[in-house]
Amino acid sequence: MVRILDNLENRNVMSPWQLAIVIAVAGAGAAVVSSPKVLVSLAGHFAWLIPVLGGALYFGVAYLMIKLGNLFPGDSFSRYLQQIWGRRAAVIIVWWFIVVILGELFVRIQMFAREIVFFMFDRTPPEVIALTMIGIAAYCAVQDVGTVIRVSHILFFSALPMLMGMIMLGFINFQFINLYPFWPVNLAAIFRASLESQSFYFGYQSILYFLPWVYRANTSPVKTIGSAFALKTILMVITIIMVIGTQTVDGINATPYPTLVAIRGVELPGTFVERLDNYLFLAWIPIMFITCAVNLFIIAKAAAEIHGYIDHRPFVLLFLPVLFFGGLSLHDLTVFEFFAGNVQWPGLVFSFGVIPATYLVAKWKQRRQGVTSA
Amino acid sequence: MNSRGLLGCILLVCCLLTAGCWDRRELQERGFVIAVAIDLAEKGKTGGSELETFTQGVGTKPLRLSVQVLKLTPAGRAAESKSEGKTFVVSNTGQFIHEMIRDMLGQTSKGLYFEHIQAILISDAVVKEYSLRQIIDFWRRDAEMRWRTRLYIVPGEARKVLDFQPPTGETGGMFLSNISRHYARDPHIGSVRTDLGFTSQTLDNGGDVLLPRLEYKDKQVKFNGLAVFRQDKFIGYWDEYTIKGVRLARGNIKSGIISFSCPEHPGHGVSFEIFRYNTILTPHVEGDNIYFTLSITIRGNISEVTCQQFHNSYDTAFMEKAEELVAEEIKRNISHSLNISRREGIDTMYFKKYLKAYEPRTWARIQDQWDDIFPTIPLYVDVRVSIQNIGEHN
Repeated sequence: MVRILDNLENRNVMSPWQLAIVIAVAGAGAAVVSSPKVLVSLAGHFAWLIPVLGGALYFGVAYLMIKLGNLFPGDSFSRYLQQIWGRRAAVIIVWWFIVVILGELFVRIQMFAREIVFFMFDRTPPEVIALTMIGIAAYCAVQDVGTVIRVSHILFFSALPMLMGMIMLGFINFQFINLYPFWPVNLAAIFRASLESQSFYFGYQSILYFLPWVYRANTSPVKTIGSAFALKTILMVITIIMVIGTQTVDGINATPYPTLVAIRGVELPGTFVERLDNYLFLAWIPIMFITCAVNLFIIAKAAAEIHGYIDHRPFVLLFLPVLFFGGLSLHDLTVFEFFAGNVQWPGLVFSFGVIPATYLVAKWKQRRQGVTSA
Repeated sequence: MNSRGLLGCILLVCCLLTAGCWDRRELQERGFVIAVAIDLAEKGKTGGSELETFTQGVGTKPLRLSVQVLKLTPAGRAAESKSEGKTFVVSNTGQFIHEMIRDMLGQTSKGLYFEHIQAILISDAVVKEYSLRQIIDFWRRDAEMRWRTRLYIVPGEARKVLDFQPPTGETGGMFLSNISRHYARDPHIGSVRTDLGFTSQTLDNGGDVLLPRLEYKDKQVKFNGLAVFRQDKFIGYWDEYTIKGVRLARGNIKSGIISFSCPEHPGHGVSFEIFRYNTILTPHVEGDNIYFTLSITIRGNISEVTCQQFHNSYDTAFMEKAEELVAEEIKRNISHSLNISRREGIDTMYFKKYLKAYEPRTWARIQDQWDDIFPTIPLYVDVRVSIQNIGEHN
């Protein structure tokens, strides 16, 4: 008798902590290299406050996403959107969601290829770097959710601590005086800039599609997702404090890659370890990979579900050239700066417009139908 | 073909394209640049040839760049190369550093590789004519450079220093880089936070740059002074006593010797070795008055007494007097350096930085008049000395 083994990766459940780990690792480190420059240019010495406020702000959106998901237990975003807004509007919203994610991924792919070529392989065409990353990310994204979770976990416990360790090493050149003045605080600039920290918390949108898999025996996803946000906030605050303390605000404003410069400035006399920025890259590359993989998986899932397909894999292959050509089309610096500076707007509309509106309408509809939320 | 097969084909093609190392260059194929010298092209040129140049479309060729390259010799030729030295020097003239480096590839069989550069030597003739910012621009931009590369100013021709053969067997660049590490024990060496990274940062913050002065004479090198820049404009050199005063005020001393004359025995004196040194610089603003206080706490040992036959080092009175005299000498030294700083308008004590950090509103009010205000700002120094030991013998 022939016995066919189950596909162990074809899971349909995950714990709230597993979801938190996926959210924490995807996106967290990817912005560590680029965000400090943007945030410091917006808020100077107080840039470290931005992730704190931004964390609270985007956790608020994530909280709303969880509440929305709780109204439709077991259903994914693509499915319950159709119940709330109707089929046509749901398709538009899902594709809006896909565009938001793709836009952020374009920036990350371009940034990744640009920085790897500039700092590590100056004779390698960026296309090769981008293609390699997208190819590997796609290989992960065509797997089942079990693989995505497992890879996220492995990188959470390997690459993220390494990244954190490298950031901590930057404190060797730290000077407290560079952090001053602590006042007067320009609150208006900080509030405005906290919206810009979306790219750092990028990835929380995947909650919408992971949530139906999450079983809630004893732990609330709100608590675990909150922990993921707290971890990201701590990582970013430490990074910004380290970068300002080692390079000063004026120094950061004169450097496109302050985090890398801060780490490459670390000298460990008596050790054979040199050019520590390379080690930062070693930690950063897997985090870039998992960020691409998770988000590619999610948008493929979103597109498959909204168009009535069970299998997400053809959509991974569909998005693969889109990612490649979209990311590399930003090769010109002025185009890249413009795109990176404005890519958050569709995301802000989605997070602060579409999600609250969807939640309110869903709540209103359920109340009208006399449904009690889960 | 199903989707799995299609994916397999795509990945296979990717593997074919990305197999191997795109940038592969073996170690022995690299010309490791250990040190660099920048001179004016026409002044004091030695050891050059007419080949060390190229035809340039536009502009002049004011600079001469020389690079010290490591000789990587096979094991069998080690003894032979010992007599020839471990490095060789290639020079070129031009306007742009990067263009000169690329043109040097016509003079060497191996690509020039700057990941291990240790020192950049700049002739004072260059910084008298060009701003420091202009000269180090390439080194700040290029991702291959190291932030911890040492910057030195050389009186006269910098190229000559690259011919220096260290007696220790190190390469010249390594030797020069390692000297600067002794700043921790020698307050005369002004190489604290003067490397490429910190200099770049100082320039970004509008600060005044101090760089070590390196002199080469009779096949010997010596750090003897500081090259002083008003922001990026070279204004001259300071001597060891002035450096020491600056470092005593900045508090970037881990160890060092403070010596003073014995008031009772002319021609004799006592030296004191610093073991622990802490400073707190505080800005004070009272109405329109700005002043700074510098509180110094030192612990250390008596390290030498040339009139020891007349003194008992164990004696409390001697100890107290010695502590008082060390404090006086430190105050005198700081005052000497501060006066020179004020006279030349160089903010060596970081008054601007502290005022910006701790009194930002005052700074915003006075920043336009800073050049006029700076020389008038008083500094009140309080020194507390504690002698911990008198050494092994009275």
